[in-house]
Amino acid sequence: MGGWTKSFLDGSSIIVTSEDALQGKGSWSKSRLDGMSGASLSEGGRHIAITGPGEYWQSDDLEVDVGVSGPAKVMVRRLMKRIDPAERLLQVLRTEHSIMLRVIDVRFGVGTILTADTLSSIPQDKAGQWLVLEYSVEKDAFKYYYSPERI
Amino acid sequence: MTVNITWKLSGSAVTAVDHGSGTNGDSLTTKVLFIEHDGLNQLTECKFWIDAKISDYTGNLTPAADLAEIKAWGDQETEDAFGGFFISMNAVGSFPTWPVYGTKLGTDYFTFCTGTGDSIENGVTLHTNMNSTPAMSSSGIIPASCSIWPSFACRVHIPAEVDTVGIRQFVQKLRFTYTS
Repeated sequence: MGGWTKSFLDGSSIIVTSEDALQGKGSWSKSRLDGMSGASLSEGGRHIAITGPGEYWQSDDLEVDVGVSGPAKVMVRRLMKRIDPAERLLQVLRTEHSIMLRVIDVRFGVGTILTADTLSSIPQDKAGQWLVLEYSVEKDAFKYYYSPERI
Repeated sequence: MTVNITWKLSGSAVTAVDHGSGTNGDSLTTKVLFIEHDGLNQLTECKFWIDAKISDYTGNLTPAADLAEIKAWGDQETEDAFGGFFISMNAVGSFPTWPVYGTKLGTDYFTFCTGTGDSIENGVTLHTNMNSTPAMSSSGIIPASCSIWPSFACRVHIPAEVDTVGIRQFVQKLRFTYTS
């Protein structure tokens, strides 16, 4: 079952399944946005997630044939997290069907042993930008990048 | 997650658009389409592009050949060879200006051709002149719950030089970004 989850620093979470979304139940933009610690999203057996305290957003790219009325087809599903200046490290954890980006705030130290080959530095000029993690439904592919604008 | 789109032509919802038929040098009947959606929020990053009509193709050649020909008409550099699929997004002005040979692209009108609407990467962003209420706050944004939905006009111009009679088919697509 697909859908998205918002996780909060106080331990609570909001879970919206794809069925909920299809029925118009559960809105990313209109549900709680403050105090988030992470977000995850599932689609067709693929999973993406970002963790780390901060500001998050979610959006999808959809497509329709002009002149053909009906539901739009989901092409890309996307999670975003705004990078804080103190967040200097990015850990990328991959499996065949999932990818998780762990954004690490160096002020709080690193609580677990990190494997060096999963770590990279977040360039300082990316502070304030959005870390974007996408799953392309049409290409069955993951991609992450930084964007100056929320998408 | 999903958003339902309803296309209206002369006030009625449609499931296909037939641009009609004509002969060399004709501009086929202009179609004015309204874009309605049921999303609770605005659609952003709205862009038009064209692709091959892979499913239910009933043209005379192949989907790829038809798409290539439509784009090639827009690419032509002589008046008799120029034509193709045109869009005008100036609904505010009742679509006063259309592409012509020598001016394929304007601020709110364009010809699908190489580099313009020929792929999602070259998608053409919707213009603010599409006369919705509320108005589009910036290009590529369709508001939610419009009392008047945005509209655009489209038509096919058959080049004077075309020598192969037959049915051409292609798909015009709208790509957009949405947050629930």
